[in-house]
Amino acid sequence: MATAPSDYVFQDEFTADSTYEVGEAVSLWKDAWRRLTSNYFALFGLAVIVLLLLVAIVSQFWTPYPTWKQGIGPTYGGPSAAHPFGLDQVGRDILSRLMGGAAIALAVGLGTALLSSVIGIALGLLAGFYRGWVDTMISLLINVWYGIPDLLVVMLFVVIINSRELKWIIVAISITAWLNMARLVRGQTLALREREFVEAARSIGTRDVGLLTRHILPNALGPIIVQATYLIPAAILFEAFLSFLGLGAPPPEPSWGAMCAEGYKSLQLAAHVTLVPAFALAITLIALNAFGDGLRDALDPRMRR
Amino acid sequence: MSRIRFRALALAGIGAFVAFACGGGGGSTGQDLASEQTLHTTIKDDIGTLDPGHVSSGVDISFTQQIFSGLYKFDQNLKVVPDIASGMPDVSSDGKTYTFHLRKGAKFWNGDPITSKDFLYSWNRTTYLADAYSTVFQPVVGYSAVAPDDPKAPKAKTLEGLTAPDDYTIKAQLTDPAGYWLTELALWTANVVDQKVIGDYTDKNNQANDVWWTKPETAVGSGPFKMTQRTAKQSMEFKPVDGWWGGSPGSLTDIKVDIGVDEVSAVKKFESGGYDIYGFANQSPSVDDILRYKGDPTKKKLLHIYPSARSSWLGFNFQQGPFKGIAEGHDGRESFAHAIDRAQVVDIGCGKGATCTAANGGLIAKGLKGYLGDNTDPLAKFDAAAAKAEYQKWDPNGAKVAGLKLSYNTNAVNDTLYGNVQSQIRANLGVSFALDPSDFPSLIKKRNAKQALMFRDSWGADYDHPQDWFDNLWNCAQAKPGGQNSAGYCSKPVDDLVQKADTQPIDQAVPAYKQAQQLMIKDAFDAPLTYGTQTYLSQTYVSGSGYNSLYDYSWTGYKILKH
Repeated sequence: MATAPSDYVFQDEFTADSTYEVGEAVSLWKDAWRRLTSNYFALFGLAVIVLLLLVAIVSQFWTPYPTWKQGIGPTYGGPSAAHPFGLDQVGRDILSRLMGGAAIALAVGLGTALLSSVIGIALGLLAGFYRGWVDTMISLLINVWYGIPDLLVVMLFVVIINSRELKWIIVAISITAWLNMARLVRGQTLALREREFVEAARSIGTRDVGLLTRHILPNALGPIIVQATYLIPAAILFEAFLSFLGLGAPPPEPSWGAMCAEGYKSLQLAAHVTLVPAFALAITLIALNAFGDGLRDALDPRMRR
Repeated sequence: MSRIRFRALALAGIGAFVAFACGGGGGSTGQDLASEQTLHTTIKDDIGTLDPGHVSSGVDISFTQQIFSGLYKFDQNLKVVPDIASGMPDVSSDGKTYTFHLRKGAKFWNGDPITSKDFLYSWNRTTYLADAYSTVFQPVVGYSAVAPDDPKAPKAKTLEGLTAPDDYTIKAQLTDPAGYWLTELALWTANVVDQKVIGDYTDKNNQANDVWWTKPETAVGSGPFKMTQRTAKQSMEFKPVDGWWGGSPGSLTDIKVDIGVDEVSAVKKFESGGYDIYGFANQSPSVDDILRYKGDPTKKKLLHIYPSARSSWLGFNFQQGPFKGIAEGHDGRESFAHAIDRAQVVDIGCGKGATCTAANGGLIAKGLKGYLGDNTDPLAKFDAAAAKAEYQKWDPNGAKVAGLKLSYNTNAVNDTLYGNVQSQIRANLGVSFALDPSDFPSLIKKRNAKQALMFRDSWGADYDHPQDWFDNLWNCAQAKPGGQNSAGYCSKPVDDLVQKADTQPIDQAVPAYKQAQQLMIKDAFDAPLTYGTQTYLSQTYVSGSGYNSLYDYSWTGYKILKH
């Protein structure tokens, strides 16, 4: 064992002095929350998300008019007291459909984030932990999957399943959305599996499942949460795009993408039919991304004070 | 005597003045004609064929009718009038022998004279080609020998029932009396073609038989116009036939047709003066453009919406599913029919009436023989309260309609229209069902197999005779699997009435066809929805353009006025 020479002099900078500020002892999560709440853009995002959640929940019990009912008023009717956002090309109340659309957007966003995270985390953990042929196979799958256009996969899936029910739309988008999560978790696992606390747990006989679920996964949770928050707006946008193409939620479901698609041909005649859902979609995506960025900053250990 | 001569001269002078002032036809007209009599228009997709033996699409029919002629034709009111025939045929008392007399002097534009032998050649050829409309000659003795059901079976070359006693007489022997046959003979399918140009239609190596119509020099017809230029997928040009046997071909000196221009670009070019009319040959502006024209007082004058011979209805399956059985499913079908407000259908599904109108006068579309009259169809009456009461009595717990789907072929118009039907039935009956969109062939397959329980049904008339509707759609023979009777509806009283009407002359037959329709209404056969429309944009200086429910007006009546 090497020892320091007898004439070795400790450098001053390694000794605490009166001017050095010692950081407050706070947990990662407490510190993250503090930093998140001081990020006003992220808070704006959070506020919009909470509002969206409330609207989505309320829409399941009440909307000013049924979201599917046509001929409530004149087609392409402009905003009025009875219909603050106006009426669409078949005389449906746009506010009611916007509320119903919030539920669909959130269901798709959260459902896809959850499902694709489960797939990505499971495969990433396996690849990173076991390495070898397991890693080779999973990495190959990820690389091949990356080479296939997402839209093509989803379109084929929808056609083969021959159903445009929301659950199948969520599954279809999840099939293409798990790749980044799997790569991220694989990288985290590869790094964490070599850490001392994992070695220690292994040395006391902890099994693989225990190592993965009690030691590796909890320590990779920060980046996973951040990645999952980015999946939500991506999935919402994808569903809107699918609906715009006529492959999303079936009519008369009030998907925001479908609402945009139904109105864009009459943009000159009645711009509100397209602009209202497009604005809602844009605000939602900005809010989710703002919140995601805030979370990333808050959970990034390098930014910890 | 001199006084009489003076009076005669004076009368002749007045007559000539009146004829001049009223624009009595030909080149002399009281309307101020432009020096340039060229008509510019456009079509989106190229024609498929101009061969009367093959023509079946609306676009092809429009051009074929301008350059070919037959024994009979339809006038602007869809009345069958003689064309090359010198008058109406002599029909035997049993209705099975028709004798036609041809006028002398009729000829093709290349100068070849037209005789009865040319008609026999043309009709035999059309039957032999066995394309979509060859069934026009189905009533003639020997049809099945020339056009057997099995396409691989040996074929006779000529119809046994057709003979030409002399150059200007044709005799046709029918297997059964067919009162509708005269109407069928006015179709393009029975137009005469030049055998000297086409040659042996039974010779597979005879290329002329397939391509003769594609080149101006061989596209020989006997109509008032001839094709003078054609570049596939780009343009076509037509000119009146010099010394046409039928008289003056009208004022136009040139008809120029651009090919491959979509509806939005076409309307833009129309607005900049590049096209004189738009709508000829089944073209139609977009719904948004129609609404724009409707909303603009100046542009509105250029917009003309005509009824077209298409009827659409919500069909029900009489053989399986909740609406099964004439009596058993009656109340269900009737409640669905009464739960639909046609005014809303037209407002929403037809773009405020831009693309269709409310069907409220029976299954046969407005403007055609057999139409029952405005607001005469009780099934088209909207009564939400009565409909709901009737539905709840018929299906108290909603079990009958559980899992019900509405099958239709998807396109922008149908998506909107059937989305509206779905919304109205949900709102007025509380019945939720899914839409089952598919492509058209899939829908046809499903309907003909009698697998669709509730579906879009529609028919565009081929000609103005109720037989075209009943024999193709609503008789017991077509109700079998594979038949076109999508509902599988089979009613003996209806069949009996129709079979008798089919043998009678049109004037006697129409009341029977109407009675048959009334029986179908009593059986709650359908939920009527819409009748079609044909939209034309026509510059103010164009006179004589239009549409008569089935066909475009002849170019012979067009005039380009000074502007």
